[in-house]
Amino acid sequence: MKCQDVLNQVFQMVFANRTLNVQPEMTPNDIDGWDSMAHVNLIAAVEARFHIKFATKELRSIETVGDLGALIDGKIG
Amino acid sequence: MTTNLGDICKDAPDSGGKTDWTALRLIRPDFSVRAFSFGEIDSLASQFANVLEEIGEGGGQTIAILLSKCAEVFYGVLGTLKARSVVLPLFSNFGDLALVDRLADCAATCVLTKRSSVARLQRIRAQLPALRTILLTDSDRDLEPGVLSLPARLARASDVYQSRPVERETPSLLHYTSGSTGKPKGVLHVHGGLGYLQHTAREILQLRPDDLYWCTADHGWITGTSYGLIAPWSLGITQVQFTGAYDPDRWFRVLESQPVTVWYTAPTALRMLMRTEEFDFRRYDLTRLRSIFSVGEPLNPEISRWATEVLGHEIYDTWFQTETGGIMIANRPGMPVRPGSMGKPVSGISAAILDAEATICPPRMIGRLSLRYPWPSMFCDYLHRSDVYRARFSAQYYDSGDLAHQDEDGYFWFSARNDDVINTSGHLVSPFEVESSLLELPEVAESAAIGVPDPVVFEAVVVFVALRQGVEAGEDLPMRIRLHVANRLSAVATPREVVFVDKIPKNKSGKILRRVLRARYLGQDPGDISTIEDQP
Repeated sequence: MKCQDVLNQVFQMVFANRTLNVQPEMTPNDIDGWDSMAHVNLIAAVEARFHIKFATKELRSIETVGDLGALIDGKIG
Repeated sequence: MTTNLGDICKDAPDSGGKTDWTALRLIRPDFSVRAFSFGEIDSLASQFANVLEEIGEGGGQTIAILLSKCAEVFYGVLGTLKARSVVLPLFSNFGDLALVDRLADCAATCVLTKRSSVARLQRIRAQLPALRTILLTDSDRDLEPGVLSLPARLARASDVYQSRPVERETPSLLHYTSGSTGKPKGVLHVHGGLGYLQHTAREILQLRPDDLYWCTADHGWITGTSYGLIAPWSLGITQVQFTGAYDPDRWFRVLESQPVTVWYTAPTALRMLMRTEEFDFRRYDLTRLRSIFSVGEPLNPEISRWATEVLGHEIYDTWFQTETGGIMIANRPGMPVRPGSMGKPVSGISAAILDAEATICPPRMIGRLSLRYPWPSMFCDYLHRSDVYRARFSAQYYDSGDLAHQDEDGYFWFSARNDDVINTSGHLVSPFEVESSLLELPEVAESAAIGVPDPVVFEAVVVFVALRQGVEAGEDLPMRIRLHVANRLSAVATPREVVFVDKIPKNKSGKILRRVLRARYLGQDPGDISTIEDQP
């Protein structure tokens, strides 16, 4: 399964929305419930699903779904 | 009779009667600004009140607002009050269970929200028989019967609404608060508390007509309505509001660029700022910032010291509750701050530390923090729970549920809650609600939730889970448990940690012994455990 597909599953689980279809250009303004509290859950879920850890500096660079995807790609090669 | 709270922008005295005086500078995440004058806000509130009348939601209904920060929240609250309906501001990230508990309890007939929340509301609509109308801020047309467009109705609504004076005891605002047991309770306020909110805004926040004031609290909190809307606007003060999420750089750009002169925020936000690595606070010019206030959780002394050193300002901590409506005890400019202290009572408020016999404790003895009643902004009831309301009052005092002590000089010092409620980032989370949501999972046989000390959010939620016989805790189960709580209640209630246990300790009447779990988790002596059921 592609990284983007797995990431989409994580978003669906975190935001309890099975119809969610995330795109790289999407921001927190485009996804209902993606506030700072939910962001913490999103990052924890991504870390658990992909078995990776983000540094604080990396987290601050995430503004879009694409930013998050690129960080994941960079870690899992 | 008293002034209708919905008319505060029309009547704001310090704007000198000028309706073009700026009431709100709404800053979007891209830093574009939409400014609203007092006249515009009042006109929009009048239009909103007329819309409510048109759709049969004026006069005595309960209107819920399920939106993150945006202009519609502000004029929606005021318009609902003008129409003499009760307004229930909700956190926009509430999950299904949290929404059902609140909307069903108060029999809300209308929810003001966005299209993206319609599916969430339709999922639970069968459990909300009173709900007639979903009013959408971002749809130009009605989607179906009962799912209506606000913009289409605002466009044809008159901007004149003749609101009538109201009785002092006319219900106005409803906020829900959580306890150790049972469902959340609806704390009902009345139109009559305005004078006290103004008093505290002058005496404690020391707001002046030329201030640019920023209260970061969401309107789901009493702080967001009392001090992020009603008090400042009733005094003609211009407010700054940022619609984006917490972000150190953006927050400091707001403080610098507006420039904000009085900032009211939360200890969690300050602690997060303090721990933000590689962030140079000194590159922001905060010379126009006069005062920083905080509310929601106790303010650690180290934050005070950090703020003085790095931001060049003391932080004035304030204390109040959903039930008190306004600030009761506070630090303030002009009074020496004792880092870690709650400060002293507002003038006109009598606070005391009482022991179990309701006798005033000597200095430094911990007891129940109590307030002599009445005071003007106090709540008038717990909705449908008048028995619980009455139980909070003795002959002379209201019991806050907090434990504290007072020093020889009259400063109050918070100690702990007198119950199992978890204060995380200033949100009171009910362990009962967390446990109830966990029991919805098919794998979970028993559960318990506790709060444990946390250096950033004050208390973190930790849950203990006993699985059903034959169920194994797979790798993904802790995350599923955490997200289930987040989605059913709220992201703020997300457990920090899931601990799997064989059995939840209970006493012989079945009450969960959370103090035992807390002590074991923290490696402390659990004390008397003789009452645990089946204790070996």
